[in-house]
Amino acid sequence: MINVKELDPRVKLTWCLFLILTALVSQSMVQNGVLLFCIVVIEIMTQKSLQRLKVPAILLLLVGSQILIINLLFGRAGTLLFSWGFLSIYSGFISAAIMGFLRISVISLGAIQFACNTDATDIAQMLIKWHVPYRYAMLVPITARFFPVMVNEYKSICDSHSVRGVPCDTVMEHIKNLPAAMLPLIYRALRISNDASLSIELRGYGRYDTRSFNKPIEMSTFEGIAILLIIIAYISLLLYTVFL
Amino acid sequence: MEKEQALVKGNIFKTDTKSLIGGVIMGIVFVIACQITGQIDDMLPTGKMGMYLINGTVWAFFTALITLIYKQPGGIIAAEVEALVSVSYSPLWVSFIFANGIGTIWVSIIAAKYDMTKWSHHILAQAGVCILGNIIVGIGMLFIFGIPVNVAIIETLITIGVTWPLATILTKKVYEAVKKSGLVK
Repeated sequence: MINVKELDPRVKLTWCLFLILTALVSQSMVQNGVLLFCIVVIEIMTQKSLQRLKVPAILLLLVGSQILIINLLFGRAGTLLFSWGFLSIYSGFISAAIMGFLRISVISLGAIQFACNTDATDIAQMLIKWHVPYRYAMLVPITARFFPVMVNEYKSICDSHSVRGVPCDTVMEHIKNLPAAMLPLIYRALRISNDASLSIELRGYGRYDTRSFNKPIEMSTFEGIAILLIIIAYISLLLYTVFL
Repeated sequence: MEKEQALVKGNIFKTDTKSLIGGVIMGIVFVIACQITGQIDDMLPTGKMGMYLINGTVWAFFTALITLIYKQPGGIIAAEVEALVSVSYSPLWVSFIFANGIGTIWVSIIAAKYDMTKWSHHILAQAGVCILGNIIVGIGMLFIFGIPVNVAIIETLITIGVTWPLATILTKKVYEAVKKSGLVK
């Protein structure tokens, strides 16, 4: 199994940007299909399963169905297949929907793969290398740290609603209770942010201009060449799309 | 320790640690709210047509509220946290990066000029957030989803029409409630 987490975050970011920008620029179904295939192959090579992409894939199918409905009802590409009243269905709706689905799949799965394979501290170090002050760069690991904390806060608010006789177990119940849960969550977030900022200030956050890390990131020659090759590949694809 | 203290420059910037951390944590609350309202919209017929009306309202409300509480860069941090974490639930995250950024900057400008006590101030703040933000999301839908241009324009106009008044009411009421709670100055 290849350990992608050990790679420099700049290589992974370049690859992620290559996927996203190519998917946005490309008008070819084949190109987008190849990019999606690359994402799946990398996932199998690194994780030996597609488990991580299962939930995003379900969400993408949902969005894909929306694209299909919109193109079915309002798409005007191709020849007229069927007409009844205001409803007109044209032959181009399937290709437009498939193209849209492939594009959103590449954009979403590429970014998810980058987020899953990159440590938040590595991203902070990458930002510091780009001369972002560490007080701002360290907000990335802080986000990663506080995300589960805030989700648990939301769950505890839902639990306290359940105790008072308002069930909050199914998705529909969560949706119904949202307005009642949001204001307490905002208050809790304000209180937590006050406490957290005070405690990190007391630990010397921002006291010095630089900060050390346990495992500093260093880019190897191989990784530098990889970034260069990805950029060349993107420019070539861009020129191919524009001029051919 | 001078860097640790709050720096208020023309009422737009507030670079103390509390604002930075507050921006991050409120950004996470923003993500949770948007994720849940996104699910609500997915179940509604308007959502199936690509018009995220409830989600759009909550998005505009949080963009304005966080910017009013933490100013900049707290507002832009929260907005970009939401945009980047939305990778996990929306393919439109690329357009959210720009829409959220422009929305929060607009609110900062309005909040620097007015004291945000009247309805007109909030209407003006939300005008920029809803109009500019939804136009950018509409452009995103055009390029990312590949939907027809006329559909994107109509959907954007409907979304602006619904989210603008609702988000204005929500922002004013909640902002006053938060100020009254004493948790923010």
